[in-house]
Parts: sequence; structure tokens; C-alpha cells
Amino acid sequence: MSVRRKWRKLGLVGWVRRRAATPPGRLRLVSTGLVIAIVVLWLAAFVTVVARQHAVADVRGTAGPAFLAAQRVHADLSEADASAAAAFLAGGIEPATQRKAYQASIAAASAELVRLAGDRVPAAVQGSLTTLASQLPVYTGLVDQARANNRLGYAVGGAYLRQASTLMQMTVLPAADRLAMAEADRINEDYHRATPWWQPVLIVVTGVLALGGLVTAQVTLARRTHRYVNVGLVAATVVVGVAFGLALSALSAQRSRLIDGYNDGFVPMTEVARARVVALQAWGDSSLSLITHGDGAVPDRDAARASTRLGYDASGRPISAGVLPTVTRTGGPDAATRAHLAEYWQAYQAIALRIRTDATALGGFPQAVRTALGEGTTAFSRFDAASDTALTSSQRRYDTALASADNALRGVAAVATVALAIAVVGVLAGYQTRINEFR
Amino acid sequence: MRLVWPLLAVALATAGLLALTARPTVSSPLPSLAAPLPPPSTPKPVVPKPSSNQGSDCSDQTASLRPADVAPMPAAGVAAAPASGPAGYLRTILGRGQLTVAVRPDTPPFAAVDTDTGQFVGFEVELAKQIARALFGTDGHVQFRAVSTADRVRVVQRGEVDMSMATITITCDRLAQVDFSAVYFQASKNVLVLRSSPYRSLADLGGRKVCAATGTTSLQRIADTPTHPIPYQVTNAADCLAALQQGTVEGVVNGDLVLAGMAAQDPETRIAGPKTLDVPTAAAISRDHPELTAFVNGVLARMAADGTWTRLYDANGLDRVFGPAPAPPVPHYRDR
Repeated sequence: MSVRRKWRKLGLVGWVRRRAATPPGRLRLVSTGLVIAIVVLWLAAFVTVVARQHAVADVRGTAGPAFLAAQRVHADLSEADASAAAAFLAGGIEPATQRKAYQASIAAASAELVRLAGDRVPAAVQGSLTTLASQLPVYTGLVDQARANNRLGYAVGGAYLRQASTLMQMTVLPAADRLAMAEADRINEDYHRATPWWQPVLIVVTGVLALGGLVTAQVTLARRTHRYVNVGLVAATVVVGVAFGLALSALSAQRSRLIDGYNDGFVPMTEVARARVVALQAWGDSSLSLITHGDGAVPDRDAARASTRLGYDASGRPISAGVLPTVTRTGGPDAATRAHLAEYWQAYQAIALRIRTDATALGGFPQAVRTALGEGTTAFSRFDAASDTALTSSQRRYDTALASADNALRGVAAVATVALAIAVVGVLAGYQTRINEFR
Repeated sequence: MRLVWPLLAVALATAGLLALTARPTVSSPLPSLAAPLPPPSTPKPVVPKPSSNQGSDCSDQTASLRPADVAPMPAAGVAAAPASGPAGYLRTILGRGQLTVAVRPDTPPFAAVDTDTGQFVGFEVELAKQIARALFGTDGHVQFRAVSTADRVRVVQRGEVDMSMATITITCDRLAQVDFSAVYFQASKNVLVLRSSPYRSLADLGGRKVCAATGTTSLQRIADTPTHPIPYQVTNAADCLAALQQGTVEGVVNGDLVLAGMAAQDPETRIAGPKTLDVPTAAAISRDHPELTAFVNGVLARMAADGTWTRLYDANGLDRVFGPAPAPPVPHYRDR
């Protein structure tokens, strides 16, 4: 009651009553109500579309590229670490291809780091970026010290290489992981912002109210005046209906494209990326194990851990859960690019097992090194190239889906604004003709 | 009352449209399979306690089986003469055509892998070749396998190789697991320090960080030093040299035979400590094959007598590290 009293005090109720006392006043009141309903619908649609556009633009323009960059840094550094070990294994004079692969990977990672530093990474992981930037030179220093000693035939070279690899695996790569995880969190938040469940609900409620109001008003008007078609109101109804449907379908399209981007792009992309770096870790471990000439318990354990994540036990048998069987099974438009990953990895792992057996077998060590440098490297390169292709195609898929989610919303805000403005004009014009009849 | 129907229609329309269009908020979580691997669990290294009394239960560790006849075995016709000729296990080796030996790949000049050829080279490798030649009468009947410090005794115990010549120090604990040949090198527990440092022995490094590989007698030696150097443990002995070069530690404890290999890799280091010659180094052989131990002892005694030991000492560069060749170690024998 107190509310009503307050309203009375403001004079609003009195004003409405006074207006409602005369027929033209009643018509003006109804037309004002309809205009308000249309404006509310416009507000709901406009704010929703603009907010979602911003969120999608954030995924496309900020979090997404930063995530990809962090992922690429991780992959490049893993590649560098494994290549350094393979090059070392070859002896005093390392193969030019491995050395080039190492240098290219380090250069690519450094370039990505500079780019990441230019973007604004979340404050919480600023420290990880610093770790990456400060430890990478330490790492390359250790690798080069290992090379120099290896060239002289000194066993201490192996110690430096182990130290370099430990630094990479225990400090540098986890920092890249933290960075990628933080960006993945941002993508997740942007996805939430791009698809709140209540936005379509709000548009439906305001839209039904506006349409319902328009229809009711026309029915009432037709009964009172016996003029069955009011052009202004009919036009307003059609235009509101079109704007309403357009907004809803745009939101639905945007949402489903984001889901497609996640299922066909993001999930296979992140899984393949992980499979690749884990496989690189296992390959590096295999080289490190050979470099220690039999003292390879630590790298061998690490390789077994990596293999478990990939989906195979230490002897190469598939286990229940693993990333390679999963990505190979995952359907989707790019399934063909992932189809052979598991098979290629198994081929490599069979060779890796033979290398390990040979290395501890009597007199088998030189053979093990030959196998590792020949067949082993070839088999791994095949897996690496295939995973790179799969990664590139799912990255492109992700990017395309995000672009089309963005496209789905493009122009909707403007169209809704124009349409609803026309509707307002239609309502006012439609009622004005009736009001004029009272003069 | 007339208002009820339109309101109902609006409510129904709303509900219908909501059912058609409302969709839950979409998440984009990182798939669990794409999450980083959890870090490996690294067991905390155990710092050994100072040993209370060393060598209490075995009086003469270095006594090995009295040697047998070391004339080359006729490789052919072994199977035809089961009763006479070489004793049991030697026949097995002859039948197999290979003497199998575990060596360390990272302890030049005793044993190492030549980075260019991939072949094992060094003093212990040459000794093993001589033993095989004595057994087979010709060269090329020895197969080497690289072992780690942790595995070098175990591979003999498990019968994976005939013997292990991997800079193994004879200790009471190890004597309970395997047999040892006669001593072929008398080493000293020393400490590798920077050339410029003032340290003269391990005792001078009290309160300083000193490196040794986990599970070695060297680590025990650090724990036993009364001035309490701080042990710094690594997995591979070679990591100690890197730690010394980087200034992480100030000394590396090991037998001088291992330290010699490290000193050869860095001219800025030197071996400090007295030549105590208290580290008897011998080949580990299974306790099941006393005939092989006796045979090896015979070959070692002959090499000491005819100058082969000294020749191999010089040929593998031990003279450059330890000075001119001393007299070969004097063997101690027991009869069973």
C-alpha cells in the first residue's frame, strides 16, 4: 500500500486516471505502453547482441591468439629439447638437420614470446612469462655447453644436456603450460559471456510481451472502432515479429557455431597439441636414456609416464584412456587428419622399445644408437608431421567457427534498431489516425 | 475476466518460444586429456648416516680364489670331452662363444664409449679382452654391455653377464652378494677440486657442498668425514663434474680412477687427497661360478708377471693421470 501511496503522491496514478477518463487519452496511454514494450525489446536485443559480439571478439582477438601462441611456444620448446638430445646422440658432429631443427624451434619460440609479451597476459601469469623469457637463454647456454663438451668427446657434455633438459621439462615448459592454462580460462570465461542462458529468455519475454500487446491492441481497437485493419499497427507487428525472429535465430546460430568451434576445433586442437608435446618428451627421453649409456632409469620412467598419457603402457599395449586413441576416434570434419596418429605413434614406440632392449643388451649399444638415429627418427618425424597437420587443420577449424559465430551477430543490432524504430513509428501513426477521429 | 484469455495466450506463447529457443550457457573447458602431465614424483634423496664401524665382519676383503691353470681352452671338441678339460661354467662360456662383460660407459680412462666409433675403450675393457683371449685363444670373443653404478653388481647377481668390470670397490656388503676377482687396481678415495682452490683433502671441505652419486660408497664417505661436508646428491656421477664447473659444489668425491676421467675433461681441476690406495677395485663375478673367478685370477696373475698389466696401464693413458705405472697390485688368495 505504501508504494501506491508514494505513486499517488508523485501524481502518476492520478495522471494516468485523468488520461484514462477520455477515449483519446486511453488510446494515447495504450500507444505509450506499446512503445515502451517495443523499446524494452530493443534494449534487450541490442544489449545482448553487442555484449555477445564483444565476448566473441575477445575470444578471437585476445584470449584465443594468446592461447595459440602459448601452445606454440610449448610445442616449439618441446621440439627444441628433443632435437637437441637427438643431435647430441649422433656424436661429436651433429647432423645438420637436427641442429637446424633445434635452431628454428628456439627462434620460433622466442618470436612467439615477444608477441605474447606485447599482448596483455593475465596478471596472475605474468611471472610465467618472465620465467620463460629469463630461463630460455639459460637453457640454450646449457645446450651449447653440452655440444662443446660432446665435440671434445667429454662425458660431462651428457651431464650438461641432462641439466638443460631438466630445466626445460621442470621449469620452462610448466611455465608455458601455466600461460596456456590461464588463456584457456579466459576463453572459457569469454564463452560464458558469449552465451548467457538468460539473454534469449529475456528477449523471448520482452518480444512476446511486445507482440502480444500489439495483437491485443489491434483486436481491442477493431472491436471498438470496427475498422479491422490498422496499417500502422499491422506494419509494426510484422516488423517487430521479424526483428524478434531475427535476433533469436542469430543468437541461436552464434551459439551453435561456438559449440562447433569447441567440439570440432578447440577439443581436437588442444588434445593433439598435448599428444604432440608429450610424444616429443618421450622421444627426447629415449635419446637422453641412450646418452646416459645404461644409467637411463630416470628418462625411461619419464618416457613411460608420457606413454601412459598417450594411451599406451610401457610395452606399447593400448590402455583404457589416452589421448591418441581418443583423438583418433573423435569424429568431426577433420577426422581424416587425425586418423593415423595412433598408428604412427605405435610404429615409433615399437622402434623405441627395440632401441631400449638393444641398448641394455650385450653388445647392442651401437646398434641401438644407429636405430635411434635412423629408423627411430624417421618414424617419429612421420608422427610429428602428421600431428602438425592435424593441429593446423583443427586450429583453422576453430578460427573459422569463431569467425562465423561473429558473422552470425553482424548487423543484427543495426537491423533490430531500424526495425523497432519503424515499429514505434507505426504504432504512433496507427494510433494517431484513431485519435484524430475524435477531433 | 476477459483479460484471462489473452494473458493465458501470452504465457503459453512465451513458454513455447522459451522451450524452442532457450539454451544453456556454453562452456569451453580445456579437455582433461589436454591438461599438462603432473610433475614426476621424485623421491627425496636419503642422506646416509655415518657408518659406525666399517668392515667389521669380513677380515680380508681382497682375498680371492687361488688361480687355476690359464692355458687357452681348446674351443673345438669341448662338448666331446665332458669329464676332462675346462670346468663347468667355463665350458658354458666357450659353448656360447662369447665372454660377456659389463663396463661403465663414462669412466675414462678405465672404460668409456668412443663417441666416434661407438666402441668401448679403456683399461678395464682391455683387461676383459685379455681374459677372453686367454679363454678362447683368439680375439673377438668378448661382448660388452654398458651398466650404471646402481646396476653393476646386480647384473652379475642376476646372471645377465659373466662378470662386471665397472670400477667396483670391494666392500663387505658387496661380498655378500657376489664374488670378487683378485684386485686389478688399487685406487684412493679422493676429491676433485678446482685447481685454484686451497683444499688438500676431503676433510678441508667441512661445511662445503660436495658431490657424489646416490647410493655409492663415495656418498657414505662424505657422511663419514668428521668435518661434515654437505653432501650433494646426483643421479649420474658425470653430473658432479658439471656441478663443480658451475660452482654448485666445491668438490667431487669418488675413487681417483673415476676422478681421473673427470680431471681429463677439465684442465682447471685437480685431484686432491693422499694416495691411500685403500680402494681395492676388482671384477665382480657370480658366487655360483668359482671356476670363472679362479680362471680370471690366473689371467690377472699372468698379466702382472709378464708386463701386460703395465703395458695396458701405459697404453690407456693411466700414466698421464696417475704418474708412471706402479707395480701391479699384489694378489691375496684363499683356497675356497
